[in-house]
Amino acid sequence: MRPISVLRIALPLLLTAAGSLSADPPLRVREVIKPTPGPWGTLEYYRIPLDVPERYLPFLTTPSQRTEWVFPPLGSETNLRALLSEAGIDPVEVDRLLKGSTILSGSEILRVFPTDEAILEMPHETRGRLYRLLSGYEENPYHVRPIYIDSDNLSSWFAGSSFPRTAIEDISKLAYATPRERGFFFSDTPFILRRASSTTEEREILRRLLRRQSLIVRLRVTRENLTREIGEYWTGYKNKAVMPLLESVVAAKDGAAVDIAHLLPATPRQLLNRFPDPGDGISGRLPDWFWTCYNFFRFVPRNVYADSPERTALLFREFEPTLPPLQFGDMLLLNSGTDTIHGCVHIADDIVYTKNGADLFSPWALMRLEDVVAYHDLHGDVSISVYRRKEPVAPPIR
Amino acid sequence: MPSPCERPFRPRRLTTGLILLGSALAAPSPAQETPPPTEAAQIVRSTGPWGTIESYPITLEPPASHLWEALYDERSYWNFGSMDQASVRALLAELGFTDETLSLVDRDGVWKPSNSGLDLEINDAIIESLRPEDRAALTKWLRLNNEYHFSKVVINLEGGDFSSFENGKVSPATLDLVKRMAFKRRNVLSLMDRAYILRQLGGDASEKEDFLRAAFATQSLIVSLVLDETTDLEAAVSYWSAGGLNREIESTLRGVLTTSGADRVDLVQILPPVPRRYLYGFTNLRDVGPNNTPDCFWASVQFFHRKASARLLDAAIGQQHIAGDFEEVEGEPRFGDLVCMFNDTDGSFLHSYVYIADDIVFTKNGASFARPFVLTRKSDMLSVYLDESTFHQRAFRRKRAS
Repeated sequence: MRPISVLRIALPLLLTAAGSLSADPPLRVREVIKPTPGPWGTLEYYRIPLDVPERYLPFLTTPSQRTEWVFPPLGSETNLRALLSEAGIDPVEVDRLLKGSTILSGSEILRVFPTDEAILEMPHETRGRLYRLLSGYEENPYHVRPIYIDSDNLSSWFAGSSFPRTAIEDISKLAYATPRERGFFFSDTPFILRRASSTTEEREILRRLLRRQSLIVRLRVTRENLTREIGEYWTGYKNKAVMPLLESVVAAKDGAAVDIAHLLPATPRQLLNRFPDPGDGISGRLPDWFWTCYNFFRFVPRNVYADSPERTALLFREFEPTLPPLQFGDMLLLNSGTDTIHGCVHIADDIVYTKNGADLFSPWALMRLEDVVAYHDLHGDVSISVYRRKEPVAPPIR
Repeated sequence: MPSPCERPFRPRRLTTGLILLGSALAAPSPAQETPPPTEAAQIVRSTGPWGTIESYPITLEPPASHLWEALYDERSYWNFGSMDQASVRALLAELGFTDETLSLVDRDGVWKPSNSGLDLEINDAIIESLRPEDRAALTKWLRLNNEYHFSKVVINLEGGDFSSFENGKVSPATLDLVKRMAFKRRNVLSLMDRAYILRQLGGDASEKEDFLRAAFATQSLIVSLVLDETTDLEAAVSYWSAGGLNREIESTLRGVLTTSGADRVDLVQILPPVPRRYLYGFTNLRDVGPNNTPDCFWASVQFFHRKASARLLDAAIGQQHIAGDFEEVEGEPRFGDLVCMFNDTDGSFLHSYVYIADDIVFTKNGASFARPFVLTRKSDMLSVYLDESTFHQRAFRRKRAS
């Protein structure tokens, strides 16, 4: 199947003076986006932050403020320098990175504790290369899964939080472009924690760094633009008559903006913009991307996961590969090399329903596909394939 | 506590206006047609501890998949439980049936014992002889003495008029038939001759389906929380988080408030997971037990649950849930309060709902597959209980988990 190409867009990272970073929320720092209408109708959407529930914070272990880079057991600094050079880092830059650092070499790993200067002064290009290298070693959790900032405006990103301004300024220096050059990654969480003056503030910083973004998407319906095709687009396989609802809305309020949560099947509607609950993991694990995609049209979710033995069989038995134009509910798989690294569900335009991790801190959200790809594409090689359900889970509603 | 109510929804006209389903597409409005209702007449705005909310009415039709086979039954009959034939004959006279109707019953009525007691099968001539007051009188008797049969044969037309049948939803002939068979029970407009109407529609399966969908059309509301420069965000967060039971809404509300052009958020984004899952939806077979289906109590008692539980279908457990998980409260209701209605006469449980804000409640009226989970006006919901019986209400607040 021919993969869908994903746009590469470079964005500057801005820290605007206008954006207050205090507890007083800046007003109207985000905007409503109105994409081009399509078979789904006329959409509009805006970004909302999703803050991790406070009751989840005790589950977090506050990391040391000392930054640590973990490598495989290279044995010597010479081998380390060679590895860094192979990653494309200029030898002069390697000198700067390692100058004054502490290196602990053991039989299982090699640990580097860089200086603050090395961390702060590293050029963005070097940071991208080094952190991409570090993301290959699971002992570097902040590089394996960096924080993704899908905005070029940090003030907007942290709007409404009590995040310290000094920490925001640090992030503006330490964030680095994603391989797709859309949005930014940030991996220096331990470094940022030193901006806290108490353990309470540390937790607050962690909480804000764990902030996720979602979209509230609305379908604008008028007597003129509401067609039978729009109703059919949103009906999909789900057990709900969409057209009577939309007609009723138009009759009551011509030009109303209907939250598309109303148009989603029951399971994604229930979970949208919510973090998993610890109780969701009572069977042993929390929902992941495959659970989310597979159960999109299912009224009662089935516990299948990305690494379940039956995943491939289910995929080929119940879905079939297809090509654009995409339909509501299509499953989009993100492939890197020979692996499928993520999946999400097409909603409309370039908006998808996604859960970007199997952990407690990854909510179910609506996002732009480009952002989902940028979030997961650590090596710049992601391609997308599309699968469509073969048969309705429930009979289509007339 | 007795089992939750199986009582069908008996709505009345919404004060905010009527919804004409399908009118926008099925019948583009030429000049001579009735103009569409104005937005001003539809949208209601209110301010209180909840902030400012805005709502407008919508109508929900059951999908064809939820019109179960029995609804298409074309056998017309009345059930009188354990009464004998002579007693029923006397009852019909006592209810004021005309001599003509009584004669037709004597001549054409077929008395049949059934699992539910004594059935009286009636033919077209008997039905056509009935006056609206005869239907109202019999319905009232059934409501008080045989609620099971009442719930099987009586359909209350939401909105108190025929709007759900108009504008091409059913044929003019069917609409005329519905109007002839309809009758008033105080302010409630009802039908009890569904089988007769279906017989008149002959073999037109599509028209029969359209008739049933229109007959069970349910009024609801789309509700938004207004978030603008006048909003007291802390107060709004405090109200909608319900004392910590619905805590995750804060960042959403802040996000809306900091977005230019987004001055309101739909309540679907604020409701807890269970009501959000079911809102405007209909009962799914996966939620049904062998003897029970989700009803008002099922919908309201687990309002703050993360997932719906089949335990709520078990018999006679209402008091257990309330005693364990709730505490009775008085005074001004709060978002998420469970309100139960009890019959004044015998204390039996009538209905329950969840208070949302202002006069808006979350409820499912009755256990019918054809009735959805809705947000609706408390006054409209309560009005259908203001007939033969009187009741009192008690409010319960869910305790926070320790």
